[in-house]
Amino acid sequence: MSFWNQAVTEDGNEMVYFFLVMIGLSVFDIRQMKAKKQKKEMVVYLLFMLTVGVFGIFYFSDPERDSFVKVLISFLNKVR
Amino acid sequence: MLASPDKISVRQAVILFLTIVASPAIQILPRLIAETVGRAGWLAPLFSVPSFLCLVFIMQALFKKEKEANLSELFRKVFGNIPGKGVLVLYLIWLMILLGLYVRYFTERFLSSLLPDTSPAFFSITILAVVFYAVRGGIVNLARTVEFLFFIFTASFISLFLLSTANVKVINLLPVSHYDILPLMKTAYPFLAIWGYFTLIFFFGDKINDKENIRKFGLQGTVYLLLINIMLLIQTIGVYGHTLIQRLPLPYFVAIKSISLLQTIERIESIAMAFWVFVDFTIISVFLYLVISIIKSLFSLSEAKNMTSPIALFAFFFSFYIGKDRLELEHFSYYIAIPVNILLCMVMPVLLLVVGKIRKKV
Repeated sequence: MSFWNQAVTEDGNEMVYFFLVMIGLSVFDIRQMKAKKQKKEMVVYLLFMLTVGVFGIFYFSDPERDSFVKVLISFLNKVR
Repeated sequence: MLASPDKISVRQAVILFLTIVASPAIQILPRLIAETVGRAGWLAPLFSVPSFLCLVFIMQALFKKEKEANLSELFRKVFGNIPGKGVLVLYLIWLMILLGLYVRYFTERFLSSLLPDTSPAFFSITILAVVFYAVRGGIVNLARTVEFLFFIFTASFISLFLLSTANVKVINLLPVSHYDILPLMKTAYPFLAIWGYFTLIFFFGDKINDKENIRKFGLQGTVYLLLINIMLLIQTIGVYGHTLIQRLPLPYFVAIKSISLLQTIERIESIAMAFWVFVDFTIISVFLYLVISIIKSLFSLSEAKNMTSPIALFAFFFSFYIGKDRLELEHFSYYIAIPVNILLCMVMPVLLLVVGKIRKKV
């Protein structure tokens, strides 16, 4: 296994672990923000957490896809 | 003005800056400088000092009137609300990319030096868990911890340098001629890309007291930077020569490995690894704190401590997604990160000051 897909464990349950951590952290943080009545902060928090969730799904769906650097360098070469 | 207890001093901010600079400097500079200049590389930091001093004076000028502000507020005030927010989004994206990059470099370093058979995810999760805890504790606690460990780091670094001097060969460092001046001037580019992180520290400028002392501590920091970087380059280029250094993935680590005390105590590279972990912890913590500081300013939030969770999760995934191997990471650092850092950390403050002076906002 290369470095590339090392965030992916052998049992294939990595997305489940990821969502468990995400939900755990979200519950912990949202309870704190709710206690302080920080509505705006809660909205921004959820926005970022959802974006990270989408990024996590994107990564786990195909960890072997082209890397960010490769995509960026190909894009810059095209622009040139 | 009385110092606020929930703020750090300029001295602590400069110490944070000096510590975060150490990680990319040790990682990138010896190879890059050896490639560009060759044996005269150890003189390279001297050529970057004037530009860095200008940056220090620019930061002092920017905060002359706005002593309680941070850089985000200055961008919005000087450029206007919407263009200012646009600039902040650029900084936010770039800092999130750098955050992922430094987490990945931390992991790569362990894999290629001490623990090659360990899962990379283990290193990423460990460092991010510690950083998560540290950043949630606030900048004051982080700065105090770093301030204490900084002296141990400096003492270890200087001790290792002194122990390496026995292996330094003069032929690897001399002769230096006037033909080296032009290549030496070119080295200002990577140096300033890293030393430019001085600008980033002021994104949490609202958490920094006594900003009238930026120039004083900035000048002291410059002397430290100059000496430490010269030592780093003498230690690497001086021990193995520029031709070998430009081919090694971790030149500093290899130079430390060559140290032998009285031909009995060897393999003291674990000391270097220990302080390397400390500087990596600091750079990842500070970048995470910078990201949440920018988010706080961008969305005008009253508190952004809880944003640590999504950003830390993002850093974990992005550290894997950023590159497939070390070569891609180095390409990114050399060809993309250096020019973007120059633009955001050196050019933007100049632009901010010029526009601010024209519009009479700073």
